[in-house]
Amino acid sequence: MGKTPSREELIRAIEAAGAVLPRPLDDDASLIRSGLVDSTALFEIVLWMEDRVAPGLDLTAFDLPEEWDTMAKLVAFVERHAR
Amino acid sequence: MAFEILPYDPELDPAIASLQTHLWCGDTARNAAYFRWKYLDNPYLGDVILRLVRDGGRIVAMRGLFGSLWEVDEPGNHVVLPHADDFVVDPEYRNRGAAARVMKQTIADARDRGCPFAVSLSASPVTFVSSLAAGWKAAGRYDPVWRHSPRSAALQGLRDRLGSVRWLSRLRRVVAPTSIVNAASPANPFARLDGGAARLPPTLSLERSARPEEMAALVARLPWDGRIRHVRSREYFEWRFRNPMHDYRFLYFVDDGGLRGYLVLQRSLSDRVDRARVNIADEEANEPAVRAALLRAALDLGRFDRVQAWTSSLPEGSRSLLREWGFKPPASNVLTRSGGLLVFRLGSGPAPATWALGRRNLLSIADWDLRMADSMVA
Repeated sequence: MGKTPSREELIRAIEAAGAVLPRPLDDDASLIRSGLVDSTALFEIVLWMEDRVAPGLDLTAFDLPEEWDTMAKLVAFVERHAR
Repeated sequence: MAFEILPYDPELDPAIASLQTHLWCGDTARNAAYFRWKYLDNPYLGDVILRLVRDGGRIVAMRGLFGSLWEVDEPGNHVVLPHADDFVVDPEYRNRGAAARVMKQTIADARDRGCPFAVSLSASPVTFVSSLAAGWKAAGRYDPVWRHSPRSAALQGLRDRLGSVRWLSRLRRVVAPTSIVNAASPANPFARLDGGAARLPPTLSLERSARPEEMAALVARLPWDGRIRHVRSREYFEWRFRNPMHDYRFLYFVDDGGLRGYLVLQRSLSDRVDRARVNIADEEANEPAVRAALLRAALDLGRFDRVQAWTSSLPEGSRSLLREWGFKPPASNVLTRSGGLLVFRLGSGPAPATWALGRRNLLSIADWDLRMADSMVA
């Protein structure tokens, strides 16, 4: 695995998954509960996370809507799992 | 985004059949028949729990819950649980808030019926992730196992290798979409089985229909440990295997004592699903030798390209039998891990420490006695 993905890489991955994010993006803006990221885009982010951050990612082992709902939480998740 | 969230209305049937070309199959007539069977002919819910999203005059998303009847602890201890399925969002409307809203409203409708929990057994990986995001809890995986012909194993090996490559899903979609897999597969995976039926020993028969009365009687005769299971009554068998999206074969083991075992095989008729795949949808047997004879007949005669079985509820003897026949778990990746049983608590008030049905824990797959036919996978 390479270096820990940055916040900007995370944003690019989310947008590449099909989500349209507001710019500038508030770190505390809801992504999932607001519906900005849903269905296929959310699944693409899961694939990206497993590929880039957390091989063997177990979606049932954490509270996904809580831990991935904002950019700040996503960055924290990446930092925790990339160690 | 000013979407309208609509309840089910029969006038919307054509729009539903059309929207579901993104999920069920490309044939709108088959989609309409499937909808009718699943929701309108359903024996367990008197009305349809379904919500649609409309933008202008266009139906762009849907989520439904159909009826399922479960029993726990003691025979007759029944409970209806709405079974969530059929989540689809028109590709043009993804990531615009429609998915979360339709999921939320459908759950509110189920809550209004007074049901304690809802279940989801058939979620695709995309729906599985969306469901977790919407607050569903995972109870465990079905522990699927597969048996591949040499040709199918080579194809699967390629898919697994691609699975270790970055952006696996996109690459796999490009390299091996369902349409290409289907074009390279036999048109009817039951052809050999049907052609070989005359070679079955006298105790075995192959049929195209369920025997509801006899199958229900066999299930009722066999011991049951009280784990949560779908009620398999005459009414259930009469309804369940009329699913117009699937094609079934029934192997029966009958002797002087009547029906001693059955094995139900399923294949999909949808152009959106791997048509060469055969699933073991349901099975029962009064003894291991009967189970083994049914499996041997299915695999020897059928010589299927690929067969799938779920093993999470099987006793070790049955798992061992499948291993002897070459069934193996698939390679582990996020796709194969994004599936399984999901539960949603509909009740209001503080959540109990354990989500229980009777004396069983809903969030422990070990407390469920599941068949693939309990889901809409088969």
